[in-house]
Amino acid sequence: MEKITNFFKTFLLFELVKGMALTGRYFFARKITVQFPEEKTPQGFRFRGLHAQRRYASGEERCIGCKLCEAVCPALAINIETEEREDGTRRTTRYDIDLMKCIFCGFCEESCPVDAIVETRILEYHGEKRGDLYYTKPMLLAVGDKYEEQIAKDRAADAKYR
Amino acid sequence: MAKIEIDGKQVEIENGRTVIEAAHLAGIYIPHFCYHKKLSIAANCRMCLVQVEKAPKPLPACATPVTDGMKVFTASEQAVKAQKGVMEFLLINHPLDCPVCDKGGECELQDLAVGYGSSASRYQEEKRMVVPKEVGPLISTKEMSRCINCTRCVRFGQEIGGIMELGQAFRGEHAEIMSFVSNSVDSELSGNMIDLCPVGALTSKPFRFTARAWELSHRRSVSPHDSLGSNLTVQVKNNRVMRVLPAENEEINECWLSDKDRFSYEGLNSGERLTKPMIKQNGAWQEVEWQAALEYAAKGLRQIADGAGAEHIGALATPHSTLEELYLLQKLVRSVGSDNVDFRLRQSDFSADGKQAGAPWLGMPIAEINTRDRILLVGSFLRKDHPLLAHRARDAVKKGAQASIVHSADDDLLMNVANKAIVAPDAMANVLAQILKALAAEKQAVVEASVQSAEVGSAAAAIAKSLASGERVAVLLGNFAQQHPQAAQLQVLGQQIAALCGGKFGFLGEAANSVGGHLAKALPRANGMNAAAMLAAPRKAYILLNVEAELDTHNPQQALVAMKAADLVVALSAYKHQATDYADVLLPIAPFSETSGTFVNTEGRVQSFKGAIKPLGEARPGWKVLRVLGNLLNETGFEYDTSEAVRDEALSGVDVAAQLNNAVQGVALETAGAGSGSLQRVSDVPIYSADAIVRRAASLQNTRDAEAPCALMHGAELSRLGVHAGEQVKVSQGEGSAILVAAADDRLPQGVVRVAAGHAATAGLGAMFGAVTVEPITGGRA
Amino acid sequence: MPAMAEIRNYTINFGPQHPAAHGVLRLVLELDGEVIVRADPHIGLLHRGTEKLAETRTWLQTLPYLDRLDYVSMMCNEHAYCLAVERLLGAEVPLRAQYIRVMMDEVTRILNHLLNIGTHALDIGAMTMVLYTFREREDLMDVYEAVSGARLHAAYYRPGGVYRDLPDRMPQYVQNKFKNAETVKRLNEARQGSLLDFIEDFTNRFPAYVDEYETLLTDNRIWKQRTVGVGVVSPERALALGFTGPMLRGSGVEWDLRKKQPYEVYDRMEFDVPVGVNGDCYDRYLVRIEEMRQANRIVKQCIDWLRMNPGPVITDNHKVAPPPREKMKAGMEELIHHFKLFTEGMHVPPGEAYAAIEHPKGEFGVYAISDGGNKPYRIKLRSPGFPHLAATDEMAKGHMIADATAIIGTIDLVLGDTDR
Repeated sequence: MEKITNFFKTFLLFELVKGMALTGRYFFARKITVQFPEEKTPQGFRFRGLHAQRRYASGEERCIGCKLCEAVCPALAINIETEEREDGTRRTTRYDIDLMKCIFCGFCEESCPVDAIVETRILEYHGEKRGDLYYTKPMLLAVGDKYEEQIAKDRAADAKYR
Repeated sequence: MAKIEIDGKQVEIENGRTVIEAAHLAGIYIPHFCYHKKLSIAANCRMCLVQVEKAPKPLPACATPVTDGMKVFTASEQAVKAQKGVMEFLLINHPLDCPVCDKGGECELQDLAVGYGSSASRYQEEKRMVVPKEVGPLISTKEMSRCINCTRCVRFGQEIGGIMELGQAFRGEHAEIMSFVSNSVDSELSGNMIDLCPVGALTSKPFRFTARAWELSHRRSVSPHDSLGSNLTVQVKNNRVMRVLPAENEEINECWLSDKDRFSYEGLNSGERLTKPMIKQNGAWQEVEWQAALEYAAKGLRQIADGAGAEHIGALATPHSTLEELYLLQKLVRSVGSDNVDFRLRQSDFSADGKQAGAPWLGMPIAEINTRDRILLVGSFLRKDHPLLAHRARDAVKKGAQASIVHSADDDLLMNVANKAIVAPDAMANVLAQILKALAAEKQAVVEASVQSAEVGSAAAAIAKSLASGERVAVLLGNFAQQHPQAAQLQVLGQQIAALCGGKFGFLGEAANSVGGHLAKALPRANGMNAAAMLAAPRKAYILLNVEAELDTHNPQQALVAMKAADLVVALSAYKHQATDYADVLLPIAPFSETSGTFVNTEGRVQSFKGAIKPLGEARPGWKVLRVLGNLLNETGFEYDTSEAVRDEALSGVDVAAQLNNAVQGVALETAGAGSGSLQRVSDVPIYSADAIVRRAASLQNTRDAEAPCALMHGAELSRLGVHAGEQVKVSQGEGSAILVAAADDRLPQGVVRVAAGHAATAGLGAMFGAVTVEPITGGRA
Repeated sequence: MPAMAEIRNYTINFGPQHPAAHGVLRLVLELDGEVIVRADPHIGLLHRGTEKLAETRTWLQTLPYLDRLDYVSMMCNEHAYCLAVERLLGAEVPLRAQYIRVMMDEVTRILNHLLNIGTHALDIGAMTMVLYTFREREDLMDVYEAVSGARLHAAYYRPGGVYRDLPDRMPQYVQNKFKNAETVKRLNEARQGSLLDFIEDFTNRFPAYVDEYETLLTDNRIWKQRTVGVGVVSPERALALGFTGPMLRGSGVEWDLRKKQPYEVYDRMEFDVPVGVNGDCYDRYLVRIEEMRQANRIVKQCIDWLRMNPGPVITDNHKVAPPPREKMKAGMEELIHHFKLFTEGMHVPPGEAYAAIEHPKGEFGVYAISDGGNKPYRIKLRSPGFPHLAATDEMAKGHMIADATAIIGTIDLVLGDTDR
């Protein structure tokens, strides 16, 4: 019996027709295509994208220059210089992240004792010339200022897991 | 000897030592905070608790003496539980400061908490707060809440520094470390407390918040300041010296460092650094390329050598220059045909020149100072000039030695001084003659007639008696004695005193390379002029190596006149300084941290070091500059590729040990007078004015030791002049004068006024010794 | 005498820019006409010195580099590394973390096989397959992202457990000009609950998808013509060549570390190990298809357990893993441990450890030597792809040049893994 079916299958292209039927079905099915960049796929609250420096509600920058992120960064992408500010607090005079080196492992955020350096949901940043992706402290703070609401929301959502 | 067993390891150690020392011997680490090998035992941190067989409770390893057959367990359940418990208590009141604490990463508390503590906290209550303190410009005590009361700093002050500037007040939970009624900590060894502090309670103010321990690369170096040649660990980040810590060398600086060595690095990063070669054209300074500057200098030197004669060229260097620099300088000058080269800028009496058997040195290894039982210090501001030698002398005294001093000032040496003769400078030789005479009487020896004529006073007799009874005597001449106008006389007298009691005789040495200068032959040898002569009879051209003429010389007045009169002054310097007034070419050279080189310290130890960082800007190592200058002058023998080649040539065929000799022959002893009675100057070189680098170390300049110089006089002298302490007076010497604040110091002999040298405020005055006049300025209350 | 034309074999470079060469593989093919005489794989174009880098990184810092080895099965690489470090440390891993790891490993296995089958078919000419497999990969990528924050380089496993527990909600689609409320609602149906709900929904749908793949390929005559009898490796040769994983099982050797040397909680899982018969590309394909079905089974079992058993997901020994943030901000011990872990890193006791896992591609092993310091003394990575690639010559010899594509595809080659 099997021999007979096999014989017919051989010249009836049975399995090819079956495959075509499958693709044909999907031809008329609803498309799952996402029209990037106008629409985006869902993004979780743990997403590790572009870095940002945060501030307290008072406007004071959070970073205290402890350099844990600089120490833990496996790619040595972070460069910090610190000094004593006039009010006696420990502050950075320089906080650079070289995004070309960064491997987005999230260790900087994990190590930060004051939640100053965070990774945001932003993934479509770009640079047009060399050096554009060398983010300095004002650039990082600007990112933080712009997206603080989302950043705070994401940290709150993730707080119980960390 | 006791045989004990630690964690199953057999150790043999002499009786009376402690378990922690035995463990160290066996290579077993026992955690500890308050224990320090150089300090007394306090046993107050309890971290080193170990289990000892047959002891019902764990015992502190640092305070438990070994007994034969003892069995110690450092990691048994009982010991670990005890250590964990202690750690938990230590952390109870420790603030959550790690992220902002400078100690983070090199903190003993952190390390031991991770190594021996529990990994979770149980403490819920309030932590104690300690009010921040302020103890001066070097040590930050803003976060005393971090203190775990190990009292290392307190014990350091008491036992090493010689003065208890920090103490523990209150008890129990309220115990805190503080200075006495908000005094500042002024000890010249205070920085060591920062090293000792196992937590971040005492931190370095200049270093504050600038770098983390793990970012710094460590480079070995040698201190360029005093003659001790302390070993340094220069810590570097991004081609910048961030801080300096001691490198342990038991024979030199042990594990300590003077504040001068430790904090002077700020001067290396000073804004006054010279970073481009400059030449003066038509009265205006221009930055030029190296080639142009060197050619300009070479051409000028060549013109003067060919025109006026090579003897019109003089070279002056500071004894803080490296052996290589000094060697090449003298080679350069000599190859041009001049013998005018000297590094002994603050010396005034050169009558022993040519009569010295070798290079003046300490006369013994540094570590031997601790073992002396009689020390005679002649003309030395020991604490300020040689902070760590002072510590060694202090240690000797603590062990029972008798210290005697002959000096013109009676600064507190922070140790028991058995006898002292404080006299005016011109009476010092006489006092030494008295001692010699009295000593000879004790020893039944014969002395020269010139000595016989001295009348032995009570102080001298007491000193002689003390020296005569000693077995291991040291007679040490300080900087003041070397700068003294009768230095040769003092040397001969000191030498004879030492010889009579079979002791060692030596010079403490002024600077890092005072011995090296002699080995490098950087002093006139044939018909040349010495430093004083070169300045007294102005030359047409000067080469200055690291010299700031108005601060580094014996007679700044004279030096400035000579510089201004010269046709060509080539200044090799790391800094822009007053040379801009009189120099014609400024060549930026690298300070010790940026060049390789060699210092020969006062015990004759040849210590070479490498540059810790690259030279700043266009500065270049001094030896390279001198080498190229030699090439441009078309002289042969300047084809060195490395500083080691220069050093090897300088020391080739030189047996350094044989070169060290304090003997002097052919200097006739004069009959020393008992003093003229007229007002004389006594001058010290303040600790933080001694060389170009410290003068620019900002934090050191804010210390009490760096306060503007006063005109210090005995109270009686003040009232004779009719001035009150705090009033301004005009101090005149030769043609110059300075307006200074008068101050009383009853420990000074009468007939002297003490005015510091090496400071801009007193640079207008003349020689460091000699007659001065002091007149009150009417209505000049400061 | 007329000069005879010199006849030489023709040598061509297959790659490193060939679209079917999978990354930067350079295959130097010596051809006699269309027949492969010799296939000489050249590697190293993606060499990043991971092993050497590890020697200058702390134990934790090395972890994210492991993601970048086989960048198709990220978490599996991390897994082997974490196992090796844990073995050196003697660290305990909470049970929940073990389940999470097993679940994510299997998710990763599905991810890997989907990519392999899709691209393998694409290389051979079946364009459609890759569209379907990437559709499913997208869902699993969302799982990756929801759990770790990154679609690829997760850095999720840690010595001592996993970084964070599984999130209790999934991100959702939002309405936009391309998708109306109804569409969005439909898309978000599976995303209403927790991550576990989302995965469970996937596992329910997935067997049907696998059926679709089989419809397209398994019986397809072209597919069979291109794969049956191509690259045959006998069981003996497979063992001798150091094959592992589907490559070995395709040749009929029943060897699976999950069964033979169970790690984590694989001994509690019910699953079967498929083996092939002929050892050709087709059998290996069948093995992979079946492995996906089995992985789906394991994921389901993990979901059931994880739902019932909440608990810690990383060790509470803070000498190994940092404390939770809230405690770090309140307790001195925790702060110190946090500080030291992120600066100096943990000190691993001296010793050596080898940990291997059943990676989707075979046996992935990490051999770590510690001298007691905060950095590995030496790390050796055993990547499964390397011996497989080394056998290219043996498998390709005598086949037509077009079969080289099928053979490279069946090896499941990822150069990041081979070059290290």
